[in-house]
Amino acid sequence: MADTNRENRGKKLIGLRKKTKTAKTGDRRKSLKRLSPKKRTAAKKSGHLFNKETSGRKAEKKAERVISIRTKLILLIIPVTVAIVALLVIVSSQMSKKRMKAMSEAQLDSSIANQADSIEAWLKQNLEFFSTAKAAIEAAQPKTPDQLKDLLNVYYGQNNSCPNGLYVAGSDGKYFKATKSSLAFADVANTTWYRQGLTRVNMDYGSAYMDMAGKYVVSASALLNDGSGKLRVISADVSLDRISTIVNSGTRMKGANSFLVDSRVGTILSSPKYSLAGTNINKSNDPLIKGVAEKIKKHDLEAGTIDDKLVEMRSISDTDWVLVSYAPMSLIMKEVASLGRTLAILGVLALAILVVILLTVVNGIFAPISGITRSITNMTEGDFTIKVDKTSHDEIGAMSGSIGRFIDRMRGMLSSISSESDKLKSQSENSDKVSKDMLRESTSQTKEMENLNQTVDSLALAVNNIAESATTLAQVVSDTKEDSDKTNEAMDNTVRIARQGREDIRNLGTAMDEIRESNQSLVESVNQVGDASKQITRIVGLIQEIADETNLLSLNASIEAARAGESGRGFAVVASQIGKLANNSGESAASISKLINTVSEQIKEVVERADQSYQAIEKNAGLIDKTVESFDEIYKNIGQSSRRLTRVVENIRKVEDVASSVAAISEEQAASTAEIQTTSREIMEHARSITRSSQDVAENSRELSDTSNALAGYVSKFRI
Amino acid sequence: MIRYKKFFSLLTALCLTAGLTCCGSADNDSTTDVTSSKKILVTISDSKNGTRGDFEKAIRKEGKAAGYDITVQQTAGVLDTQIKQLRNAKQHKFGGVICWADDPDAAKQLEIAANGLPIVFVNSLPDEDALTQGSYVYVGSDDQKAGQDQASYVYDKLGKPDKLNLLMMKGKKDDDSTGRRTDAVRNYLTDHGCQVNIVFSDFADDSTDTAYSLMQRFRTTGQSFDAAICNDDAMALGVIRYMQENGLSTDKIPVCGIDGSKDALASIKSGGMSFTDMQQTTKTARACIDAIGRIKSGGTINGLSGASEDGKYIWIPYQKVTADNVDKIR
Repeated sequence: MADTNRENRGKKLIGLRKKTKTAKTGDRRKSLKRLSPKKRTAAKKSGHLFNKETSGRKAEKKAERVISIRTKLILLIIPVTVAIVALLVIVSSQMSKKRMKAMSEAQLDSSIANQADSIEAWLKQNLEFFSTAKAAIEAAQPKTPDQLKDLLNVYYGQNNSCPNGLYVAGSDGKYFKATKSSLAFADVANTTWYRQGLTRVNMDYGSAYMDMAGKYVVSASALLNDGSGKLRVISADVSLDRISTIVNSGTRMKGANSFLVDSRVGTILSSPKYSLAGTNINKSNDPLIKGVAEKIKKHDLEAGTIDDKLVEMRSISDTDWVLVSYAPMSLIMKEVASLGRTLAILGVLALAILVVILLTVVNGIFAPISGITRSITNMTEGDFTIKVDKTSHDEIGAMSGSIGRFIDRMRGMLSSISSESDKLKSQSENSDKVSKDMLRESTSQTKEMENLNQTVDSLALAVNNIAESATTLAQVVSDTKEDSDKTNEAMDNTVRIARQGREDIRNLGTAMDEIRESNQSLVESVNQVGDASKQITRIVGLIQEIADETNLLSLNASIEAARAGESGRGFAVVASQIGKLANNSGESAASISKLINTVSEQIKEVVERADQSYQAIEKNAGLIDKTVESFDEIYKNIGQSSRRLTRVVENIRKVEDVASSVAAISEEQAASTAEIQTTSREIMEHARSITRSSQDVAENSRELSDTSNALAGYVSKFRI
Repeated sequence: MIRYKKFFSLLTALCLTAGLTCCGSADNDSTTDVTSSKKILVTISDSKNGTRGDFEKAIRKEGKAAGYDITVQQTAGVLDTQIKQLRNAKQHKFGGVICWADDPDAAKQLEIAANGLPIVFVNSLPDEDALTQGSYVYVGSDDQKAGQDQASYVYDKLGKPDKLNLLMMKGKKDDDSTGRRTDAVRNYLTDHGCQVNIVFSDFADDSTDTAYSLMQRFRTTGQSFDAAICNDDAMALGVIRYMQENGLSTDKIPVCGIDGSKDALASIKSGGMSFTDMQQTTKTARACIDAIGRIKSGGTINGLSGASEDGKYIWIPYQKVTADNVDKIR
């Protein structure tokens, strides 16, 4: 068992080695196959030397096209830096533009809010004044126009925004004003302030209109309840000039302008351009004003850009007025452009400084690298006689030191390699020789193994044939045994049947005797019947005679009766009847006689037949006796045959046992032969494998020899 | 030595970071404690009747349903009182405030007073600058829409006329909604090519009596009007009283209000008022509760029904009420 395991392990190891070798040689073979036959031979001869020389030439070519890292670095860093700075300038400019726009919007929004608040505060302040005056007049309840005038005089001059003071007008067209007021109305009922005053009780502003003096004013007016019971309106005017001053001076953004619009009618109430005041925005051709008109029409007061101007709009509370403030985008963008220019200049400056610094740093870094590069180039050419000095204490200095140490070590290593390669060469030559011997031996071993294998195959074939014959024989014997068993069984049946037959025949003899006796009894009985028939025939003859006599007597009697005449008539009838009766009896007796005759004939026939039977029975009884004798003889013979057959069966069983054993042994022998055959084939395969391995070893030895030659050639190229 | 220095620098930095984190989390905890409170302050000028009364009932109901403890404090229309209420809110462990601002222009002051508590402004619209997504939001109906609805009703009711003599009753002068509603009416009609002649337009301060009184003064001008549009129902009822007393047909001259108050609905049923744009108080209250729930837990109102994209407004739509559907309104 242990031997088998060892053997298997050995097989596995051989298989593994074989696979590895095959893989290696397979790869190499594949690469060689790709080449033309000539090149393949050259490649085999030159081996690594060829490849290394080729790559060496390529490296030299590449070395000719070398671009210095310094140049590469500068060519990479400078464009990237320029791009980054340019991007920074552009992004900063864009962000600044957005930010500046947002800031300008916020500034303009703040400015317009300030203006709107100022206007609203001014309007509110005046309105409160007017409301107070109105309340005072209503509280005073002036009874006469003079009293009303006096009250109006009181408030005159108290409000600078309202130079003409308060005034009152009635539905009758009469109006009252302060004495110093220069106001004058031609048709009060159709004035704007009067009509607007009718629409409210509390003082409030109406829409702007042009007064008698040709100036735009806004009136605060309302119904007045002065106790007169008349419909009266109180009013006070504020000049839009004042509002214009607030609008124009309230701007908190440089370059921004504003104008005030009555959104209901579209009239411009105030504007830095005085010519615009009073014009209608809906009729303007100015792109800015047209744009504003469209937005107001849509009730859209959101900030936006119109005609390249940033526009903010705000409604003035408690009025229909909309304040519009705008600033040219060019003004806002002017600063953005200035910022962009500054950024661009700064960017260019920064770039220039960066380039100078970069060049200085790169030159400083890469100067020692040039020395190192030269040294490495020399090393590449095989010159290890050079010396590298450590010039600095940075990474490059460390690199120089390391290269110096590397050169020293390489020098030592090359010396060692040179001596080792010589040794390797001699060793490889030995190996080559040994491997060739081994190959030769293994080849012959393989051949022998092949012969052995063929022999084993023939042996296996023969053994298999024997095994097959033995199996066939065992099968035949087994079949024969089965047949003889069946014959034996049949023989037993025959004996039993013969015994039965003998018994039956004997029984038949006995029965035949009984039949003979019965036949005799029958003959006797028939003879007795014959006797009886004869007696009957005799008795019938008597009866016939009696009947004839009777008939005669009756005839006589009839004759006597006829003679007797009438008295014998009865008797004649009796005699006639008796005659008839006698005739009948005679006829019956004749019939019986006939019948008895017939019976007698038949009895004769029966007796004859009984005699014939008797003779036949006798004859049969003799035959039966002979048969019984024959049966006894048969039974005796069959008994002897059965005993012989039993002995034959026993002998066949013995033959069968032997044949089975022979077959089993033959099968075992065949299996063993198959195993021997398999083992023989494996051994042969191993022998072939060893041959291939020997070839590989020989080839490798040759390659090793080539390599050691090449190595010696290379080493000889180094100068140490 | 350098390694030791590095180690100590790292250690110091870690200690500082840990200390700052602890301090920060301590602050956060205190904030979390307050904002996680289920107590909500509702501050409102008064809620005796009308829309504010309905709102108070609705907000109590909706707040309770959502599991909040609602406290309603009244200001009697005094801004200082409202500021004081907000200043004390945090101290009284309120987690958020629902504020019907007495003066929406003072919204930023109210926010400062609340000291970090989230605020839902309701029905009194502050300036957009005063609203911040996730902290200060507004719930209410769009005043301009109400004005448009009124104008649309009148315009259609009178057969889309070219000219219209219009009487307007405005609310409080300082109330921004007054201007928005009034302007929306005029803009709608003008935009539809209707020349509007305002025969009367004055501030009736959301009062029925003031409106009635102003109408009596208006009578002295001897002018007629084709329709009356009022900034709220109370003023519309004053106009109707005047018209009924002076034999003016409310059938021919439509009178419109806003709010959908009980009196207004009753007036519509009895043939007085023609139209009102009903503020859906329950929906408003529910939106307030939803909004405060969201922002006090650090979320936004985005995704809630009617929320604007900027996360600052929840607009509650009006329901138009006329004689045709007044019976269906409950």
